[in-house]
Amino acid sequence: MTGNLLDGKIVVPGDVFSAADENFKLVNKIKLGPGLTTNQAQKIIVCKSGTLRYKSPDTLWVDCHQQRYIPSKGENVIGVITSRQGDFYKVDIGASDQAVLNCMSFEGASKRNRPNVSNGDVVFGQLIVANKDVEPELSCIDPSSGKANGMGILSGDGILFTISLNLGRKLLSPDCVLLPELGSHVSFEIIIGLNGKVALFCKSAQQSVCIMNLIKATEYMSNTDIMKALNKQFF
Amino acid sequence: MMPINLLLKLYKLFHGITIMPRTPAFSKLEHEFLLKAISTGVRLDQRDMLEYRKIGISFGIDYGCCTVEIGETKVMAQVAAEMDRPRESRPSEGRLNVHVEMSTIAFPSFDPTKPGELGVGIQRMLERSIILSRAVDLEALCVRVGEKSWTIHLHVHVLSHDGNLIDCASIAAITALKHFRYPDVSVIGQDIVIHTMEEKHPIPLTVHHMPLYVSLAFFKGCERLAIDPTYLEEKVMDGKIILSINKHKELCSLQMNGQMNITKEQILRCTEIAAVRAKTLTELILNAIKTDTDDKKLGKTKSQTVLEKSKDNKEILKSELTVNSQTSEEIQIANMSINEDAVTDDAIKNGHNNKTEKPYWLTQHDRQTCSIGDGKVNAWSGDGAESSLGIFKALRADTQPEEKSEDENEDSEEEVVILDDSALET
Repeated sequence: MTGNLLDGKIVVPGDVFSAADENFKLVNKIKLGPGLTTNQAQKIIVCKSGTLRYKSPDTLWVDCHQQRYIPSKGENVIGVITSRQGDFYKVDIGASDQAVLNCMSFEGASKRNRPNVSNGDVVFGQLIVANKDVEPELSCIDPSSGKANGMGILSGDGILFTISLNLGRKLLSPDCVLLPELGSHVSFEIIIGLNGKVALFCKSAQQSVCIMNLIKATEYMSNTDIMKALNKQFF
Repeated sequence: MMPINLLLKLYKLFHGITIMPRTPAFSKLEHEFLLKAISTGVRLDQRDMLEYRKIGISFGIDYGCCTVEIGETKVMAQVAAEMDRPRESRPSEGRLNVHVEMSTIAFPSFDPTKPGELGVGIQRMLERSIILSRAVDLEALCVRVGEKSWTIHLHVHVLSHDGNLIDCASIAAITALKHFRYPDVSVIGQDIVIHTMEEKHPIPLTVHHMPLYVSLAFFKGCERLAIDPTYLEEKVMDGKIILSINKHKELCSLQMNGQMNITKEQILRCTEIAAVRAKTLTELILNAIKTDTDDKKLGKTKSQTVLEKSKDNKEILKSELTVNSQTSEEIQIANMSINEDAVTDDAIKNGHNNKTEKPYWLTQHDRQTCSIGDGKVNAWSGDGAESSLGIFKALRADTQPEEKSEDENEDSEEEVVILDDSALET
């Protein structure tokens, strides 16, 4: 017996199951993801409502519909610059607190050569500090290469819109057929932040609006439904 | 038990560190895209420029409780009656009070403790449209002159905000008033007996007509017009015209917000659109109330939502408007009509007045001054007709000798004329 039995089970906050259940006899330690906590009695307690997910051999988490972003280190997010405080910009990333962005953390920026950033600009960056006690910090430099790697200020005839966090993750997952399939019909550039913000660049406004609404509509669609919807749209 | 002082201290402490919820940041990207899309006639929800969002009307269990949704915007109205004294100034009339409550649930920046600019705006506009147009018969609410009358409280709760709150609020308010019933009263000698709903049938309010607000937003230097703007569209618009109109095409209130430079033709066109819209909305409201009363008779407690299909309203609007006037493309008349104005100005200057026919009710005094109506005695500055004549004379004297400095004088002249016109009307 493995945790497979638990996969896909609907849970609500307050549900309790023991780590000593027959499900986990083979595993010594269990990794708990979002939506799960534990107490001293070695019980696993659910704190979000959604579907329980299990990944072999020992990881458990809860998938749920969520709009509020909880920053997590290393995630790529899209934010909007709201103000400037000294060397730092405040960025709204949809979390409970605004993130800070040092003006040195752009590619090619130096004390003398500051980036040209103003309020209302859209920025794509990576979270380098995400802690529940301090405000999150963004950076537009990839720490592994020291290059921008596509991050930085986003400009052009694009549209920025917000989707739910799970839809964002779904679009980014390699299993989802929507973006590759859509890309074979129309050309567009899309940047999806894990905070549910999406920047979409397209040839015309009409196309952008169409793609935006299509993406928003796929929230609860399975891959086959998505294919059907696309076929209806294009053929 | 915790001492109250400590509790208060804790409350203050927590209140001190509570950060007021922020509105989501609005980026330049969105701003520019919205304007670009609207200038090509595309809206984010793929609506037509003259298409309303889907409207749903539903009722609560009690009389006078109505919830209206326009897209994501949602407003609930609840009417209540209270036995009170009439106003000293109007002893034979009941009262109607409008209260607007904006909850933080509706929008992060709304403060439930005070209505704020938007809330006060909605309250004033509802008062203007419903009370000042005498939509509700207040005299019928009087029980004994100067002593007892009903006071009707109209509570408007904003539940969700996605633009066009005033339209939603006015539909909810009127529908709730129309749906409401207050208890019957018997006056026996000096006693006033309020009957319960079981004893006697409650009485509906007398609603003479149903003034409904219709908002029309202008974009891109007033070249583009869109009906029923969403929250994002309201952020990028130049301004909007909010008209209160009933199905008999009677204009009850007109308000212009924002910075707009629009022409007379555009305003007339807006009233035309609003009139068609008000007519279809009135039908929808009456239909919804009828469905609800039928349902309640059958003993259903849960109200069904009566929906209007957005496609239908678009087609009705289009067909009626094309019958009434020109094509629907003709909205973008801003530039065209400005040119026309220039032409007429020149024509008058050169003395070729025959080219453009003046409306019969307009009296032209000189190139830039005119008055509406026959021009009654001006009561504006106390001296009667003399002073107004004096102003016209002064204006003529100013403009005629030095033609070059005309442009500088134009602004001040127009201001004077506006004052003068309003005085003449009253």
